Amino acid sequence: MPSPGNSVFSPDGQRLIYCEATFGHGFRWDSLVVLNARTGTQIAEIGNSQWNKRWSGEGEIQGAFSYQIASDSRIALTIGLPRKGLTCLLILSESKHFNEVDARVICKGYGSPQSVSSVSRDGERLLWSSTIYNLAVKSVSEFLADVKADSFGADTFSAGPQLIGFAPLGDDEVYGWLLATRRGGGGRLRTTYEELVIGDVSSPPAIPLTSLFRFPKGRSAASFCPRQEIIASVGENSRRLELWTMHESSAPVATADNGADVEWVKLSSSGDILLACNAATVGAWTLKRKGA
Amino acid sequence: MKLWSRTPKGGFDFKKKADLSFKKTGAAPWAEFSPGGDMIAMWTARELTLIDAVSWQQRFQP
Repeated sequence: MPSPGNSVFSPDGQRLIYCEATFGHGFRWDSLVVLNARTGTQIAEIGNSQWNKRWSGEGEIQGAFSYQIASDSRIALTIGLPRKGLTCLLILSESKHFNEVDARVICKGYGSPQSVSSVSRDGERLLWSSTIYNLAVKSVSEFLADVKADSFGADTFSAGPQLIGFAPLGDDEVYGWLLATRRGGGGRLRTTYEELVIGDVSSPPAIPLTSLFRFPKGRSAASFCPRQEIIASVGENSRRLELWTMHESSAPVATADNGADVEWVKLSSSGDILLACNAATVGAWTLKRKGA
Repeated sequence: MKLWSRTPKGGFDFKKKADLSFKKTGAAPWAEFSPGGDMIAMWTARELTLIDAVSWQQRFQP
């Protein structure tokens, strides 16, 4: 059975990797499935035999967080294995039908699966965060050295912004952007969207962050469209949808009543569709700039 | 670092065009746009729907 969330398209939109789950005593993540996103045909399943041999006892997969195709057509995929607090980088080869899985543990610690959220196009750099406003780029080899030296403490990754990831703007992947989040303690994670920042990832490891937009008060859900420079969010009244432009944060430029509490929002990359979800309904909204 | 351009002033037409209802399964439906924005993968705990976003949106046009 497929599971909602934690799945990822390939950069060219041709593949979709998702986590397969089984239902029984709760909700159990089992394996990764690769689909042809155009036809829905299953191309491969990374699980059962080789997956379970390697990962037996490490806990179930929490999700797939990034998917990049390197120049040599290998695929770099980050996944989470939450029970052990691990984030893994899988190096797969599509030409070999995903059968050769080179898995590397790249960080560990509570909450770590979402701390490394992006792999660069060459598959050799990782964008990661250790604390709020601490965003860094490391090479895979640096990560492996840190893991070997056990230099990541158990709480190293206990908090951090939600990284949107390496953003290919222009010819180079030199910028990243993110919507910062704050997470609650006591084992209960709560995400609050507060701010939109941009970082120049061409100067690792430390990335200076520039604030671009700040909500007057944190929001429970938000989505950013860089092409249109707009942000959609859920208002303090959770039925209210809000639309902001990046350069005007005193008030939304448009609002609408969804008619029911909104759990998440997503803007399309072209910025002309907004999806808003409540418990069992996904509503599609269209956006059009007045005068355009 | 790239400096972001100033977006033009003015409001948006912001209209609801469709509702997709799902059987309640305990988990909220989830959706993801493809990087090009031309596909939408929409999930519930029981089914996956792949949607051609371009033709889907054309159905919304007045």
